[in-house]
Amino acid sequence: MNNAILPNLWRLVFFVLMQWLVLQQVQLGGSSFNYISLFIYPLFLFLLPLETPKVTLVLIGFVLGIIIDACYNSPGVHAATCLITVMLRPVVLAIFKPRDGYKVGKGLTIKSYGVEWFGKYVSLLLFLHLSVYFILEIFTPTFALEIFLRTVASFIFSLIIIAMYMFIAGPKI
Amino acid sequence: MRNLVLLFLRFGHILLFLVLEAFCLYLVVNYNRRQRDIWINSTNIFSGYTAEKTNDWSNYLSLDEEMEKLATENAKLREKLINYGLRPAVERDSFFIKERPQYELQAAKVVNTSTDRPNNFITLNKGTADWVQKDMGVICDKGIVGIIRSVNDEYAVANSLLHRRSFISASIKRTGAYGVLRWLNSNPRFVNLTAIESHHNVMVGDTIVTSAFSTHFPAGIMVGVVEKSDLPSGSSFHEIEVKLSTDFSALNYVYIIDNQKQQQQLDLEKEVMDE
Repeated sequence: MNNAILPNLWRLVFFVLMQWLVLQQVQLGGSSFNYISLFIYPLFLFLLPLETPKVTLVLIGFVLGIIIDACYNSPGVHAATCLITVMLRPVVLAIFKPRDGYKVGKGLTIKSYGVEWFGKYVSLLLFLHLSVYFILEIFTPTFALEIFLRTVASFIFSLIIIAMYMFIAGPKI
Repeated sequence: MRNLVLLFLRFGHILLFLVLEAFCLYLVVNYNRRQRDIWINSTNIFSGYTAEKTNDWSNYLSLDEEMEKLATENAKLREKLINYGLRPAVERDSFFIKERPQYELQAAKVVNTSTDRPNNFITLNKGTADWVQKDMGVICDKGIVGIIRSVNDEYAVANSLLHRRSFISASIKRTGAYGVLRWLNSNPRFVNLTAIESHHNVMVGDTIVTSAFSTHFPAGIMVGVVEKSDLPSGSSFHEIEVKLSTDFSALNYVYIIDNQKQQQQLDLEKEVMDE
């Protein structure tokens, strides 16, 4: 548990910088299809150790959200989304529980549980995260179609970014 | 105490989540321009909608009161209309004390009525407390209704026109010939106009109104139109069936007419008759 703190801290710094300095500036699809936003920072919440106390999890989600909000100049939007994501995390973990259960001391990564499990886990949680985010960002049911389009487009491209990170960096914990 | 701590350990994260989430949503709608505009707009729509609905309901609940008010106002207007034709040709000087109008109207609500009996009555919600007296006429917006027969403090009962013993003077508007309205059949849509002498010309479709001889009604109140007219050979009177303009089965608000000069006229006539 304790040896997971430092790697997670580095990861936090890396993801925030990446999100702020790179991904936020990227405009995929040009002006004709500007529905694509890239996100990597939710992965930080997905990769937090299984043993993290729930209260800590909520606080970490809030802090990460506020930091990202500071970058995006959107007070509360990412924070509210992250809070919901960390509350959904145990639910999603329970849905995709491996046959022999989760192992203590192992990170929630590809190396521990395989590509298939990790893919399902991250896809569902990321999709939920993006849905909540765009609902709060667009904030009106009048544009339900736009919310859906943005969620799907951003989901696909963010998943690619996350996969690239997981395969290049290959974190154990 | 220990239980409380255990409870917090167990559900503390949910409490923390709810507090932080509420705080975040507060930030969202207060410090993001678009979200704030949408939020304010939506709450305005919502509060406007609820205000409108409550308004609708309170309007609906006060409908009775409104009806009462409108009926009273209508009575005043009708009173003006009826008395308008009775004004002296030369306006009196304002020095003289203003005369009361000859006919005063007040609105009343029908609380009970019938149309299917040989003698039908109408109960009204005004009584002596509202200066209603016996022998006052009753009309409605469509036409003539009946005559007040008895009164107590709160209610008045009127003989409907659909009563075997109602005799009301009426005339044909076109020719001025007058007769007596009687209800001889038992159809609540029709009455008979009797005592129109045979030399008068009566046509189907002629308008029948109250005559100037009645002490209960002002002249010219609508009664109905001639539906059927017969002159049996050897008879000196027409047999006329009049289709009533008043629908007695759908009476709601009526006007009670107070003729200020009724008593004077009756007294004088009685004096002459007695001689």
